[in-house]
This record gives sequence, structure tokens and C-alpha cells, in this order.
Amino acid sequence: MNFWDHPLVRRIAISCMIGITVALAISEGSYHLLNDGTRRDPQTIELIIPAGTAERVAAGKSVPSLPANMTFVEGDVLLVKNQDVTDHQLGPIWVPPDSTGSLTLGEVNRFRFGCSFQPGRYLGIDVRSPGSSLQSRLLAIVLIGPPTIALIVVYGILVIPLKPASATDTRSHPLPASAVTLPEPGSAVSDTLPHSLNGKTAL
Amino acid sequence: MTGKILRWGLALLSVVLVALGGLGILFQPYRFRGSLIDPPVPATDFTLVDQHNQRFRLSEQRGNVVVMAFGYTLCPDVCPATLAEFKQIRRLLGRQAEQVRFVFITVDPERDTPARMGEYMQAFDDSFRGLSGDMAELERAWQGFGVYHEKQFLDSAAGYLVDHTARIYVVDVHGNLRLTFPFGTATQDMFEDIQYLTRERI
Repeated sequence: MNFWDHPLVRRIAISCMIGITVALAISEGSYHLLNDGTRRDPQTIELIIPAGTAERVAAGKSVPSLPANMTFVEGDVLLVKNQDVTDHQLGPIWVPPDSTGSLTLGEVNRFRFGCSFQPGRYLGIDVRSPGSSLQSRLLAIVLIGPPTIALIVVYGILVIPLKPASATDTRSHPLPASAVTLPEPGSAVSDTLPHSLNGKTAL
Repeated sequence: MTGKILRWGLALLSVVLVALGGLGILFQPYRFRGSLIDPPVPATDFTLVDQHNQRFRLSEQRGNVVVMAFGYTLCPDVCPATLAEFKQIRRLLGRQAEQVRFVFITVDPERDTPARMGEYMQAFDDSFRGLSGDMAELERAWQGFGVYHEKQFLDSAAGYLVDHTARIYVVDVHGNLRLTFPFGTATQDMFEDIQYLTRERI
């Protein structure tokens, strides 16, 4: 018999599909229900220090400033492009002129750093847990999936028991008439019936 | 027959995808813990003298990773902590430390003579290079690495303290300024980044 046509294999394959769909629905459903807007996957946040910023700071003119406190999630990459002619510092990132500095924010914490172009000269950086990242959501599916599949398989077998493989065989691949020996009408059945049924009740 | 081929094909595809995913996780590019300068910029060259009155020129260190900090010997807090971290990183590097130069450059040249630097380095590790020297060269180094320093006069025996940049700079084997570590970066993180850079070849 073909491997894929075996009833148990089919049952497991169908249970896998249902189980994964259920796990996906639970994981994504709870993620979207609980997401308050601060939970997101880590990403790259790019900031540009335009040319002439240091000059404007020195002259007391306004510069494109950032919010004094910035919120990131763990794993975010803060990328600062310095297009000015002098070096700049944005929190933990020091960038030489005409270069780019980047830092992966890898620790949940609240920092306060110096900043060369903030009006207050200080910058607060709040690094939060990403909550449910894509990785953790996939992990949730991996954790929910197998037990769900196992439960569906067991439940399915209890509710709709598997038919014996031979019965399925006969149904799907009927034997040729010559292979079946039926007793002649009126003849003794002792040779053709199973021993347990010979003159007795089966159950 | 077609259905059988399709099923086995899908099974094979799944195995290949899982294997590729696993390989992708294994061979992810190294993620630096420090602040990465990309593209790296050539480090400002300078020539200073160390505690043994030996000349130290930054551009002559190519082939080695140079780890630099700016400070002064009478610093009450940041500098001893930084040099203690240097010592720990050096210990963690083991034999690879031979490819790393640990450099401490003064921001207080009036008081940090080579002799004083020698005593100070002795307290941590004599292989560290404590640099002072010509004011013009020091200015060049300070400016090239964006080092802030300002004297704070006190009514005490110390005379004055110097507020200064507490950042650590890493110059790679090609002589490029590659990484900086803000003060407070975990020693283990700095060690891993420096160790990664020592594996690069010219």
C-alpha cells in the first residue's frame, strides 16, 4: 500500500494541518489582542544629523531636535548618519564627521546620555522588551502545535476509530473474483469459516 | 503517479527549507555590541611617548587592534574603572592579547609625565601604553577622536579634576576607527567585539 494512503498517515497529516492552524490562530490572536502599540519587532531606526548642525548649535539657533526621551525595543538598531563637518554624539553613539554610527540596543534599561545637538544636551533612551517578536510568536506556534496535534489525533481516533487496514484495502482495491472462494450453497462451511465461528457465536 | 511525485517533492522541499533555516541561524553575521562606525574611517594619526619614553605612533600599529581610552592618572573614578576593564579584557583574550595594544592617553599633560604614567600603569598592567607628550600632538589626538576635557578647579589638595570623555575607541588592524564603547559597556561585550576584530587580517 502507498505510504500516503495509509489511514493513520492521512489522519496525522490532517491533524497536523488543523493543529498548526489552531496554534497560529491562538498565537496571532493573543498577540493582536494584547498588543498595546509598544510591542513590535526590532527594527533599524535611522537618524540624520544634517550639515551645519554644529554651526547652528554654536550660534544658538534652533536645530532639528529629537524628543528628549526616545523609546526603543530590545534588538533595535539605532543608526546615526552624520552629514556635518564635526563629530557628534547621540547618546551612546559617537559619529565622526561624514560617517555613520550604529548601535544594537541589546539590553532592557533606561539610559541617560549626553547629546551634542539636543537643546538640553542630554538624551534619555528607554529600551523595552519587544514583547512578542516574530521569533517568540513562531516559538509559541512550535510550543502550541505538537500538543494540539497530539490531542486532535487521539480525539479523532476515539470519535472516528480507524478502520482496519484490510477493510480499507478491500474497499479501495477490490480483489478479482477468482481470488475469493465462496462456499457452494448447502455445502459444509467448516473449511471456509474461521474456527471460532464454527457452530458457535462469535461474541 | 503525479500525486506521489508531488507529495515526495513537498516533503523534500520542507526538509530543504528547514535545513536552510538552520544554516541561516548558524551563519548569521556577527553583531557588534559596541557602537559600530560604518564605513570605518581612518583613525587620526598621532605620535606620543609612553611611560618608558618610547615613541608610539598610531599608524605603526597596523596589524594589531588598538584599544584606546583618554583620561588622567589622578582621575578618581572613570579611569581606574576603564583600566581595570582593560586588564580583564586582556586576561580574557589570553594569547590573542598579543595582537591587541591597550593605550591610555592623557587629558592632563601638565601632571601626567612619563614617570607618573609608569607608576600608574604598573598598578594595572605594565604592557598598557600610558601616553603623554607634545601638546600639539595631544591636541591632534583629542580633536581626531572628539575628546572633550575641561578642568574643574576644587578647593582641595587635588588642585583640579578634569571632566573628560569616558568612551573607549577601537582601531582595527587596517588602522581604521571601527568601534566605540560608551562608558558602562559590559566587559564581556567589549571582549567579544575585540576578539572578533583580532581575527581580521590585513
